[in-house]
Amino acid sequence: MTPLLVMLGAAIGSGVRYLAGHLLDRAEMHWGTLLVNVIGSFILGAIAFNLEPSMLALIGVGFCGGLTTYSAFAVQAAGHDHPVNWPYIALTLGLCLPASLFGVWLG
Amino acid sequence: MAINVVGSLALALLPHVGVVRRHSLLPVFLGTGILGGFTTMSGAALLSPGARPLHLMVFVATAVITLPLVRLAGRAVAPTEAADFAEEGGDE
Repeated sequence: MTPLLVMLGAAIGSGVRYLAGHLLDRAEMHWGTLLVNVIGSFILGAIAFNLEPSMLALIGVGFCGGLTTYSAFAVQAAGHDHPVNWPYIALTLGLCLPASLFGVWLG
Repeated sequence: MAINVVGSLALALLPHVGVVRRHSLLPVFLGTGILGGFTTMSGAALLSPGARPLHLMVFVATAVITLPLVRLAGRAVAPTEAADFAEEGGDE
């Protein structure tokens, strides 16, 4: 049952991530991917230590895992076909960590 | 961390695979769907209260390892291949 909950959450989260990236990402700054990574980090922080296992599988591992991405961030930030996007790296790493910590603090 | 490093590397190399570029839906399915869902930022940024210094080190190490690796791996991919791939929404 748990893998199905993860898959369901990830299907929704990944779809939202695609739409956010598709609509908001720009060459100079990937606003959509940045936004879903920060929001997903916050939500996972807020629920990670106080939700029952099945809900954590659905919303945490599934939805937040699918909503956020490291691979797209890495390729957008450091892909070989453009200069390294240092502002994007700084914003992503500098916002996701505090967002997650803030979520843990609230939750 | 291993998942994020491997998944990011795979996404950097995916445009190099001709069959992926030739199909209009494969970039978004394999890149955005499979690899984007495989890797996670929320999991990387989550610092467990009991192991904060360790998890912070892993978070920093993931970026320090992944970003240069992706940059290097990108050398295998021609700019036109990367552009085609991005055009199909494979890196979102």
